Amino acid sequence: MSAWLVVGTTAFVVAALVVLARLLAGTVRCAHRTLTRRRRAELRAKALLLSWLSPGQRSQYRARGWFDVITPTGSRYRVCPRKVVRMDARRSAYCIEATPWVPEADQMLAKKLLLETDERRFLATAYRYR
Amino acid sequence: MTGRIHITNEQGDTTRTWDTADPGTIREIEEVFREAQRAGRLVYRQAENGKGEQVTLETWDPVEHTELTVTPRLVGG
Repeated sequence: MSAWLVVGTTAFVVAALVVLARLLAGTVRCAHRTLTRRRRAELRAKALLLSWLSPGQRSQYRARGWFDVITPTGSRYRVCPRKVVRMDARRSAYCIEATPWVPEADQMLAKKLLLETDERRFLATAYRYR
Repeated sequence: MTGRIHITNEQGDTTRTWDTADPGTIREIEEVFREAQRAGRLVYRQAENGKGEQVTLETWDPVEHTELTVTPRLVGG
């Protein structure tokens, strides 16, 4: 009687472990696929951004992850991931983001181009928080 | 000659091309411009000084402006 109980319990535990392992493997595979897709998207976006940057901006971006933009009015802005800082005495910081979501480098490219071509629109759109 | 337009999206970007001598492919890119405009997105070409210059359907020259980028819509965070 007790031998059957041991066999039954063992079989149940093994079956449960097999089901759990399969579920876990599926989740890990799915997460890995999502991460790979995101990484590929980031690399693509980075390549596009680099193709638009001037040599000076390119070395700033490669070394520090940000770059400066000088607008037609002569104002200097620092385009960083997730924020833009006006490089004057007040050092105002702006939050402006893409919708729907695109990789960070695509967002930085959009901010650079808007600043270079239409600073007033940038200032009217961005949220100044400092 | 072939032109290219990079449309930024969640995959980084999607590239569409057109043949400057083929009105059919040019019409397809004009539709990309219209879609971008409807979505509040801007289209740029690289000017000679390396800076961006905004291009609209009205100002776009398919033979001259052969490298374009559609940026995402930006909103205040």
